[in-house]
Amino acid sequence: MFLLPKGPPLAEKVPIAKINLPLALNKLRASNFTGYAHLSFTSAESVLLYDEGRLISALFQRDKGCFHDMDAIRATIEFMAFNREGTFSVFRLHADIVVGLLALISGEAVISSQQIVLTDFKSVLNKIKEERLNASLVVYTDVHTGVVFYIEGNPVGFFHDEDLQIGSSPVDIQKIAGYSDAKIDLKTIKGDHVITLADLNGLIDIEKTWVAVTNNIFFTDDTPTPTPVIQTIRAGQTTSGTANKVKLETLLVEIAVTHLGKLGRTLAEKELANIGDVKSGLVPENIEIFLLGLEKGAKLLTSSSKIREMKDSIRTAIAQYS
Amino acid sequence: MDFILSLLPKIYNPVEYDAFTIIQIFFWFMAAAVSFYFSLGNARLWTSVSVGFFLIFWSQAYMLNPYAQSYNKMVAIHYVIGAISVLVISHGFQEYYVFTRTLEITGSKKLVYFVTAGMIVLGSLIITINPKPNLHVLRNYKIMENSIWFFFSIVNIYTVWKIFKELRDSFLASGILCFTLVFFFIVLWKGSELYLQVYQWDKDWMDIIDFTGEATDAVKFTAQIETAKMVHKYSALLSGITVGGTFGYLFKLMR
Repeated sequence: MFLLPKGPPLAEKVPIAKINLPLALNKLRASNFTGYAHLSFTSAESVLLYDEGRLISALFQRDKGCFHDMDAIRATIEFMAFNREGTFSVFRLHADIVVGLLALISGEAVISSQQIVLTDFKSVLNKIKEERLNASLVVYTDVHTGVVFYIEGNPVGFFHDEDLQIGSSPVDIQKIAGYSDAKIDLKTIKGDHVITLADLNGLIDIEKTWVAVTNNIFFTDDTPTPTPVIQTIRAGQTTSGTANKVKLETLLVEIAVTHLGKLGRTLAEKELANIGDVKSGLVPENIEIFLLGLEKGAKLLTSSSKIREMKDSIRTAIAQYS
Repeated sequence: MDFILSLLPKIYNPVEYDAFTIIQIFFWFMAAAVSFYFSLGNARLWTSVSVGFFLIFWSQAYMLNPYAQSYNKMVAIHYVIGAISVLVISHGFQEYYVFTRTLEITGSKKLVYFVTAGMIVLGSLIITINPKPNLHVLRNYKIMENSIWFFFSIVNIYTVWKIFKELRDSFLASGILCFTLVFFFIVLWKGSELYLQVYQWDKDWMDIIDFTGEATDAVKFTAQIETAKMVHKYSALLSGITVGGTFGYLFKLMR
């Protein structure tokens, strides 16, 4: 089970059976929401992290399997379609705490399961401060867990399993650190990471996926298998080139459909065909040719701002697969 | 002052002004300006729409100048320009429909400008080398213009609807659909005048028979004539307002 901080609740423990996920997420997007949505099922959990209405990260965990971002959203929708027992909660958080939470759920692990007694804890704290890290530090035993969020090396919030409200006192976490079996995890993210993150709303058509899954019990999503794409690539490009190519191609088409409607599919496929294939599309000149062609047609279908959003999403998607 | 005015050409037939026409002409200009803005860096179909709305603005605005009714060849040329305007607008919408089916954007904007200019020059040349149009001929030109507007506006409603069906889930779909309303009011505007002309109940015919002394059956059909005149007046205004509203809305959507 995730240990997440609590802020002012917008919804708390609402039965999942009553939730229309696309509608709920659209509301969060439209209201420039900052915080997170938490879906708790009997055998799985999902967290969707928002920064000013942008869906910046998602995590889905079931048993020992864990999916991130788009794969997490798809897995959540698919799981929700067949498991209507659980609760849905939404908590508003300060933007700094969201950065800390982002480090917690998708940051780079600097220290993992290290026993405090074997660690120079003070030097860890100094490193966070001196390197001005955006980080989450988890201190835990078998019984207790406490979390500290850091922005540019300064602690901005503390919470622990007995009090999930964000506090400003480190006392309770120091107590946990005092246990002989205490361990620490340190995860960090880059300073400008939140700004540069793609809005996942623009990378996946949540409503379409939701409708497809809920209307068809035999639904299999043609783009994603429950393979954590981004995670796999981050782990060292273990996925084969062909599989990546197909996934990227599908993703680019999906982005075009999200921003341009059904004609976006044909337009994106036509422009992809014009540059040869996606493999050559990864060459910067070809990316620009692809984007120019797409933009030319898109101008007759949507607004300038949506075209900009689409191009940003495409660039981000290509960067993730490069 | 009187000396300066005496140097100006003589006004043979003074022009009658009404507020509705002036409002309408303002909206045609707005449509031309906004569609020209859309055409910048965009497909040439917006150039066609822009040129078309500019020409209708021009042909209508010409009729407001004090000499508009005094030089028959110029009046005839402006009726031809009015007819060319709807042809060019229709070309724009047909290209839009072709785009929605093929997603191909082809052709140059220069070609739109040159072909339109060529049509205007050719029409003007034909009018210039022929005898000065009398009131009958001018009325025939006006009937020709109204007929072209009437039928092409119906075709445009159908084309816009087809475009909308293709774009249905696109962001601009609702804006494009508004053009059906514009062309609907244009159909009423031009159609009501055409109706009066076909039955020889229009003002131009009444002016002609004032000279010839011919009889008219207009008195027997006052209700039909008054209804058509009212439809003509208000649909002209509404076509202007809807075109202004549509381009304003599209401008908002496209930003």
